[in-house]
Amino acid sequence: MEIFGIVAFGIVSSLILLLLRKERPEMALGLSLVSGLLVFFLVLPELTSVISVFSGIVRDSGLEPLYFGVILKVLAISYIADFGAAICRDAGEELMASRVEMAGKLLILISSIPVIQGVMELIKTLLT
Amino acid sequence: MNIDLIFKIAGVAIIVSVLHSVVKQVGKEEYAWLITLTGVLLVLTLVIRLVADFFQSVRATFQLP
Repeated sequence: MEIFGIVAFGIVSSLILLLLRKERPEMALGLSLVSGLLVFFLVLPELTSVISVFSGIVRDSGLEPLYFGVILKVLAISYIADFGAAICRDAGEELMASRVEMAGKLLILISSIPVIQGVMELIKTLLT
Repeated sequence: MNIDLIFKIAGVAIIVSVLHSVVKQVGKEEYAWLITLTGVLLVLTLVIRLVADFFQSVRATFQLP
């Protein structure tokens, strides 16, 4: 069970962060960054099996594999943008956090353009 | 998965705190600031490799080029 390790890890790092936050806020930021990354590293291998199952479903159903690639890309962008924005917000830089989030949203929009184009093509073929 | 990185950063922070207060007691404010900067750089060198690892593993998980 991964969850026991993650919870214990979160409690330990919160305790250390509580001690550091008053004295050395900049070190506390580095520490919270590291602990967030380590929790991600604990969870990420579990996600691999989920993604392989989904790609198997996509392969069996005969859908366009391009669209599944778009979904994966959007997921990765949202995970990374959320992580970066959370770190910026932890440092107290609200402006930087909201810029990072906005960049993530824009990049998601850009990478979902092929899907919109595909829908348009489908409508065109249905009309003619 | 290495929890010792957490303790490493906490140790650096404690050492920097102690050195900072000692140097401040002696009355060298400018050295105290330099010590803080060195500590931050040390932590950054520890962290930056982990961040690169993280990006690499996200890229591998989501099968991105």
